[in-house]
Amino acid sequence: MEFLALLLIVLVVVMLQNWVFQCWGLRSLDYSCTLSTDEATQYDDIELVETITNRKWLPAPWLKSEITTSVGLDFAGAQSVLTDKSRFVPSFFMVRSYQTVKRVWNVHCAARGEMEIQKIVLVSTDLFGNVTLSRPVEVSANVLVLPKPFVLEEVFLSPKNLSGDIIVRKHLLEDPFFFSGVREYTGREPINQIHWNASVKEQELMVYQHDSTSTQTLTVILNMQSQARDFADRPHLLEACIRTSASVIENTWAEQIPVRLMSNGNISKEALKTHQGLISTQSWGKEHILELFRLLAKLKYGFTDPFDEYLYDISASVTSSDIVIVTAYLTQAVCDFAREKQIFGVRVKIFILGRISEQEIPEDCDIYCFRENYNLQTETKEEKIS
Amino acid sequence: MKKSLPQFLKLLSILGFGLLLYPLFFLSIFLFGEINLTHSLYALVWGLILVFLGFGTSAAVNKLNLKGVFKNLSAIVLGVSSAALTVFLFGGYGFVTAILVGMIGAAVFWVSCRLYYREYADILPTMMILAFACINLAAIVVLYSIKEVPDHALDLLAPCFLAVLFIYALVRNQANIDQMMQRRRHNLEHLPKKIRYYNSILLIVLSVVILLLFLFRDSIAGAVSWLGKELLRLLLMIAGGIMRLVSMLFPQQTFEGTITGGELGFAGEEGASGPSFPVELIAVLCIVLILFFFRKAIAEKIRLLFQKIKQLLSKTLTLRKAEHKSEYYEDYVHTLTQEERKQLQEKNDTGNGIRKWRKAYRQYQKTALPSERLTKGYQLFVSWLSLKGVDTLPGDTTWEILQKGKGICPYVEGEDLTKVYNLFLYRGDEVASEKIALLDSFLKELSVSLK
Repeated sequence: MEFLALLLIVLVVVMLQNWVFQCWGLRSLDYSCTLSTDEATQYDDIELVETITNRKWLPAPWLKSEITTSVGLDFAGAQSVLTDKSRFVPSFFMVRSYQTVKRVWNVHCAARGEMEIQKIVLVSTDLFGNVTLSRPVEVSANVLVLPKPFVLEEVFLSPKNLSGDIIVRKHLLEDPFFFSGVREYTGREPINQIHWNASVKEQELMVYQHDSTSTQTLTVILNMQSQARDFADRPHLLEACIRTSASVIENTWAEQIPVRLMSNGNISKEALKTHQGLISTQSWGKEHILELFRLLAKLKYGFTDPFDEYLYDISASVTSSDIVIVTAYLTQAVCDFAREKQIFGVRVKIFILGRISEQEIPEDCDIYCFRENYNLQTETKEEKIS
Repeated sequence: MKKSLPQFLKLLSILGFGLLLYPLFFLSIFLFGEINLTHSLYALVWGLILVFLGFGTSAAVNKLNLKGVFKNLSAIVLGVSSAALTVFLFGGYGFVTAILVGMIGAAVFWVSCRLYYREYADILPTMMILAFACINLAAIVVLYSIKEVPDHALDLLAPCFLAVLFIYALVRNQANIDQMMQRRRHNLEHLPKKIRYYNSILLIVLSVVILLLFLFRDSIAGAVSWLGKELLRLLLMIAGGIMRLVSMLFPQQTFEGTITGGELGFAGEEGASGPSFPVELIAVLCIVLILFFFRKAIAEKIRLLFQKIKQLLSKTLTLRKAEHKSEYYEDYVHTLTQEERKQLQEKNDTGNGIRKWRKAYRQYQKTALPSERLTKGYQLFVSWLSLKGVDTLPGDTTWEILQKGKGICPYVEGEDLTKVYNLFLYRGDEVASEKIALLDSFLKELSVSLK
């Protein structure tokens, strides 16, 4: 009888345990997952915070949250499993009754872009593995990782920029509000241009000397096509292009130069399909630069039109005093575009991120080449071993 | 996971396996010899020695890296030797017993040799436990059917099986954790150590519950049977009362049969004297009801008591346990205070309210009849206000409800709805489709505001 009683008790207790975990295993269990910030710069460290609150007497002896995030959010090291688009991180908990567990993961923003926590599934089990429960959790945690600008001097070299700048006359008409000095009256100037004080001093009629001026504005044209003929994306080149654009844009902040970003890429896949390039507003200041950084962060791989065609299309609409072209390769069309603009007094600089030989670089273009010994990962110049 | 834990669990499983074999030894001795508890204990110890001998032999063979013939030969020689030794040791119980125990001994030795190569989770499979539970039962049945068994002779059977069950539960629990990890190919090193520890604690609690139930089984059975009897008495008393009432109401009718306790299974005296008032049962019911209604307060008091004891024992211990660091993350553990629990409960109630509101809103969207739609729509508006914390009373008029709502949510625009509802309710106006469209958009806004 003892033995039968024992069997009965064990059977009842195990069944009761199964039933209790089946009914209340994942009930009254609050789970949330947040990111410490909604905006960060590439290579920054942020925090991912998981919070589990158990609002009942029954403890959760084994609880797992399976976090699926963007690959660009680097955390959990060897504990994570990677696919080409996602990172799976299992997180194991043990939550006692009426207890809150807050887990803070250190997350490294390894790449720029719109990063998100895509999916979370909670998995729980009883003491003997008879009951396995799972529940998807709704999460809306996103972080926009802005591209980190390069230090241009370290990353680029300009083999053709030895003679310095040349002065060009850009406009036929002088600026009546800009005074560069005084000169003698020639008889053709109107009376209101006479500088009376200088005339008295010099004892002859002197007039205001005007000069031609123009407002300095910058247009950054970013090429999202990584190779001239092959249409396959080469992400490391495109990322370098984006970071270079970010550097150029950031440099305008010190002098408050109005800047505009144009690209044959776009922030949505739909726009890429409909051949809509990216054109930002032209403005200056920190807020505007931040907006441009956000656009750069959201840029998707792919392009609306081949860059040569794109340049031809936008040629007329680019009216700024300075143009910076950031591209992975150099073609004849790019050089022609630069030359055409230079004729009208526009300063054009071309940043090339791909490999280019000395012979390919034209004499009459202001070209900056990527240092081959520059390591993008460590952001240092590597010494070449010859 | 360190290697020591699987090794420990493996040894524990082997011990469990050894204890499982007890009925076989016990049966082979008792069937052909004298029934004695000391003899069975002797058999149990010898069985365990053989199990560990087999296990140790495999371990030694493995360590010495013996292969092929040598490996098998050593196992055969040692197995035969142990069988011979068993026959020699148990020769005093009779020839048949000695041969039987010797054969079982050799089998145990060789099985233990093989078990060494298994994972700890596979040494005690569920089917083996069930099979040996059946063997236990069969042993009891066989023994009772053949011989007269003294009461103390089977004293070890249940405790042995209970110990096996505890070992099995622990191994199964740890194996379950491993399986949950390996199912998704997670590295066991990434599992926080406290999970295994805490699982073991919970398992011990569960085992203690089983042990208590087992130890107090007679008292529990007595209590259950007493409760059943008392309930039956109560039923009889109610039936008797009803009969008396019926006989008072209809005096001309006579009832030939009367219900007695004896008819329902009670022995003569109680049945003859009739059911007395079950004071004990009422008292127990009262206690149960009090416990049920004041369960939260009682539980809270007990929790506070435990908390105080815990604080007294060690404050630093709690703090040390509160934080856990890993290579990749940091854990902050906090036990919810009573206030925090209340806040969470309120929040949860609101969450449930929102879910209910959404469900009602979906039902509203399916309603076709304009008048019904308007009524449901207005109800939704009122419940939305209560979700926002507006305290409405049953006596409030529609305008008063709106005013109260405006007091807490000034942005709410319920004038149109209230007006239309008033006209419909008090004047019986027909509800135009334009008004319904207006109501739809208004409720949609309310729905969005709940997100």
